[in-house]
Amino acid sequence: MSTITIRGLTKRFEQHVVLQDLSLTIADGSFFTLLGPSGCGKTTLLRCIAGFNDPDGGSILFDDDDITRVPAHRRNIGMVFQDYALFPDKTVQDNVAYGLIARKVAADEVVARAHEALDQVGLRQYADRFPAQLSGGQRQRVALARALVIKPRVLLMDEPLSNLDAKLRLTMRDVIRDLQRQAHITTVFVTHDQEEALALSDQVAVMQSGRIAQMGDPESLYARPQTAYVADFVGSANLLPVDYLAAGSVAVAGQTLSVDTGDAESGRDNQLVLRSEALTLLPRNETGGANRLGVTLLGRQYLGAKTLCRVALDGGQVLQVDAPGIQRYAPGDALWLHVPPSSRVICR
Amino acid sequence: MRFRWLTAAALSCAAFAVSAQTVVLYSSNNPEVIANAVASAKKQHPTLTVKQVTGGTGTLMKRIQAEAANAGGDILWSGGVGTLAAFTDVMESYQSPEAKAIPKQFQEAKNRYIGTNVHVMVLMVNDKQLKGLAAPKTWSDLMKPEWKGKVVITDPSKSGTAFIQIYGLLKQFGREGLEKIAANAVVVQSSGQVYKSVSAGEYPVGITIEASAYEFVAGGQKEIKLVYPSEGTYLGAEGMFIVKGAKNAAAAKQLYDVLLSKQAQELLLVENFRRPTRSDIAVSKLTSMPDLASLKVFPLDLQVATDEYEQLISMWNMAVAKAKR
Amino acid sequence: MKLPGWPWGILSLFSLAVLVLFVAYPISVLTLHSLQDAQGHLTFAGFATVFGEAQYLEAIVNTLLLGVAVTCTSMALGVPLAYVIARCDFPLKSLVAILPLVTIIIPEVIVGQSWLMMLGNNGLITNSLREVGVSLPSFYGWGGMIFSMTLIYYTYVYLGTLAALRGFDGQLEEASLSLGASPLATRIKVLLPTVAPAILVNALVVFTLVVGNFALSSMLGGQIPLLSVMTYSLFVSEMGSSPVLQSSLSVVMVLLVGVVLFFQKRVVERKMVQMTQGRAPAPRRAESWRGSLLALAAVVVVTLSLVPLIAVFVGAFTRARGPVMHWGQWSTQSIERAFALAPEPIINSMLFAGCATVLGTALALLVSYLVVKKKSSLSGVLDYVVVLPLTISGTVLGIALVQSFNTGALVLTGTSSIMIVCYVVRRLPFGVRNASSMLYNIQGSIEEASISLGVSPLMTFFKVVLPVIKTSILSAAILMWATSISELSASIVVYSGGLETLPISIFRLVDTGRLGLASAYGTVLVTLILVPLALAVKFFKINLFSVK
Repeated sequence: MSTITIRGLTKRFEQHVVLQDLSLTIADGSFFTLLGPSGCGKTTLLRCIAGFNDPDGGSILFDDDDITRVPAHRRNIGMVFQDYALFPDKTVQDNVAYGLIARKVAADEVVARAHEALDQVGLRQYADRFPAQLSGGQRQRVALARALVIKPRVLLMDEPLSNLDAKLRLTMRDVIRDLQRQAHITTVFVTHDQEEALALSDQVAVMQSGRIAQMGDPESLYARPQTAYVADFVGSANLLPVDYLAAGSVAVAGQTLSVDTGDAESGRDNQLVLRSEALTLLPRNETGGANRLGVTLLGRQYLGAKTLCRVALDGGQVLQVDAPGIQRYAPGDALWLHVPPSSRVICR
Repeated sequence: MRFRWLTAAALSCAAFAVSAQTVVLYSSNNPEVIANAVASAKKQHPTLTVKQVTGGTGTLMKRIQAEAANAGGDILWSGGVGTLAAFTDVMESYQSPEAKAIPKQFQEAKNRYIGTNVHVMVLMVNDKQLKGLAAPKTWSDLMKPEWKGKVVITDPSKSGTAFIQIYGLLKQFGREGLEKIAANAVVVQSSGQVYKSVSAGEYPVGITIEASAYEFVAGGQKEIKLVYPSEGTYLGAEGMFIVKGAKNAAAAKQLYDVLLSKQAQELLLVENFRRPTRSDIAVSKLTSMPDLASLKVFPLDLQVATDEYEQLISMWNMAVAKAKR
Repeated sequence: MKLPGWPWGILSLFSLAVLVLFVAYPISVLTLHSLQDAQGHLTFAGFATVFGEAQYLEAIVNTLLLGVAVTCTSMALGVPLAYVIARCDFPLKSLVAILPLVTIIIPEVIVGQSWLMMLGNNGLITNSLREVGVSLPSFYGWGGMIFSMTLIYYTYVYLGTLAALRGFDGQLEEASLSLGASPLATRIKVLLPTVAPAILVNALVVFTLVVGNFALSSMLGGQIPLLSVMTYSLFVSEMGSSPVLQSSLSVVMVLLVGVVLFFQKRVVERKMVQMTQGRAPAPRRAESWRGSLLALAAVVVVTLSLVPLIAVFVGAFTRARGPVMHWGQWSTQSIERAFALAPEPIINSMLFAGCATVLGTALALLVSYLVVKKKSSLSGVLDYVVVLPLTISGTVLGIALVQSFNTGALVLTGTSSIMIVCYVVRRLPFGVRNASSMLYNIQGSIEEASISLGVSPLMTFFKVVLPVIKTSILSAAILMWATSISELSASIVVYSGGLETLPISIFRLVDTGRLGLASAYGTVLVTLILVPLALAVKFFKINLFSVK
């Protein structure tokens, strides 16, 4: 268990800069997620921490130990891979015992600890099976047990859930979170799935083109995105260009709305972040009430718990609204769109 | 690393081999012939170990030249004396006590090499394939038009014995005779193909050496006959020599004596049909081959033949080309 | 152990050094010799002779003709056979499907010898037909060469086509049929274009094999001048010949094959169609008379290609007196003589092929590991150098090695090492290709998983990579063994006294007409190939033919 400190990390592949002067600190025992689309550098950063990529500049520290130049196999890390990476010719137990044997742990202790680790992931009864005889979820649990049994300083996970089906993914989130808490192990988790990031993490860093766009706990990231990029990537957001009138007041398509203007100013590229689930559709005949825009319903998809509605502002922009339950409006209906006053304006 | 190891292994083997009574024999003979020679040597000198290195005469001669500074072999047996004559600078002179029984014509003036066996050039005839033609009795029979495409011979540039055959024909019948033969001949690239194809019935007649043709008679192929041309046949001798700077000179001389001995030459005659050079062996008593004395021989100077090599080959090639036109 | 570049950089450098020494250097020596006269001056005399004299031109033309002819006949045999195997179902099909592979494993000397014993002028079949008044044309020459080569090389076309057909998406055919095309039109318009590149790639392989073929060309060629035989006989010519000429001929052969392979790599392989979906249509049971006839033809072709195997066993136990075979009279005398009189070829073959198998498999594995898993600029160079031997026929490789290692700092001629080098170099491109396909199938992440668990990269190779591919390595090693122990064309050039192997002995015995002993050695050779193979299939359950 260690604090991970990254200072000024730079990594290039040929001329292409993948990580640019990146610094961050990951607190001891925390669950830290690197979130971003493919090509943003999140996996490269993880592999630099693991030791599979050599950075071109900067340093990586586990607590006070500079491990930048320590080869991967001496870093004492546990790693879980997207494709499980189980040794196909070894049984589940031998897979789990592999790292212990490499550490020259006594034979009887190897067995005891391997069994304990398999118990933790609920797979003790599969100890003698081969990976090919397991389901995807079981394989990933073996991989987790194999990574944790060596009591690594940090646990690194590279998109470990993306090969699983949707239901299994939800279960595995709990398994991972529980094990991580129990072991109180500093964990770096890479994903492109914002929901996964929000659900699991203590801290999330949203990455963009080799830099960190915004870092924070899940709530603040969702509620207060600082850039359009983050707003768009974390949760589903509509971004609406607005004119700044005064603090707490903006104009859209000739209508004035009261919103949280944050650090917006006149003359900047101000955009209003509208979370689709925070928006409400009201019939046009309903009078009174403020903070609303006239829209026309373009189409809808009924999903059971909610209905996805596509609406066009009178100004022409198309927005998405997640309305709870079933909506009776028909395409072509003119409606009011209610904008909550807590909606934020961002100017980056 | 690997090579160092192999070299070391090879050296230690060699060291071990030398500590016994060993002689390294470079030989172009086939394994059966060598086995009989080795058996003969074992009988006469039980302590003598013969280590053999086999290969074509040309290859072995080149190797001996390459190894001149550090001889790998001790004795070479055997090569056509025409070929041997060109390599006298790699030979050690040796006067063998056995040489008394060898006629002078098979001995070299400075005792650098000596004839061990005689090749008699013959017509190998497959009776079944004659198809009404009378079997040829003479070289000039083969010059008649009815033999066109029915006589198989080896390209003289590909074989030492074929060279002697063509050289003999030139000397005996002149350029005209050579051209007539060329007009009828089917030329193949190895001497083995001649006796194999006659045996197989592909051609009724082939010009080859007695020992090779006789194998088929001895092997029980009844339709094969040997014809010794009555106008006189040609002889080619095969010989041996001790390599200059041989590491095991004493053992080499022992083997040299063995190969000239009556016992060995008789064995090789009976088993492998190698006609001995020794004058005290009655060939017709031991085999159904005739004695050399009973054959008419057209004499050739093989030393001179070697000097005229290039001329003969080009003359032959021209004759073949002319025949094709 | 804190060497810079350890371990992969150093190992790449080492592999490259080995390849340069035994592949690139000999080729350059050969090229140099083709352009240098005895005094070391630049000369084009060699090439002028090759392209100026009728006999060499004739050899070039004949070689090309033979290549084209055998390529066509191999396609004519291999493609329909593959189609029948892929699309029809008949009794014994699985056996018929796998048996052609045996033809690749039977040494060519044995094939040549056996066909001579059957169909040669004194052959069993020839003689028995002659008894009833039918006379066969001579087996020596075009007929014999095309016949016997086709019955070996069709296997390459067959395997390639079969793989393509099995990968073919049957839905495409169904789509074509549903659009109203007739079944025949569908085959021509839909099936053929997608399978054609695969056929062509393998046909070109056949072409290069024919051009480089030595054993069958020289045993059956008769009076037809061919490049490989001519190059060889120039090299061994008793009266000595000019190294310029033999080098020039060799270079011509290298270029000939090189051009074809370049064409294959650059043009044909790019046309290979990647099937997005591979659901091959299920084989249909051959019920109609046409189907049965096709199946029967397949059985006949496959049986015919296995005749040599039977013939060599029969020959080994037939009484032979000198060069004369007494068919119908049985005897173990030839076998006894093979073991008692001259066991050296057996020992040599086992020793050299054994060493070559170990070293060759290890080198192929190392090179492909570096190329596939440890990409660097150095391993990129390796990737190129390692395919070079494909352009060098055995005869040429032999000449190049002799010219390079006859004198100088590293003298190998006359030692066992040069035989082993021959075997390893000839087989290396295939070995690397096999090993690469094994390695591509390994998830990259399992190595990283092992490293993350505290095992060094080098140890990871031994503890994780090797165990995963061990059966594949075993089958690659067995294939290496089988092909090394059959190698003739290069080893017959480089060998010297005391280094005779079984194929060389067989070749020489056939040349001097000793078919009995040749068959005995042949039987030993085939046994040495088939027994390990059978054992491996039985005990390790290896799928030998998943690699090729």
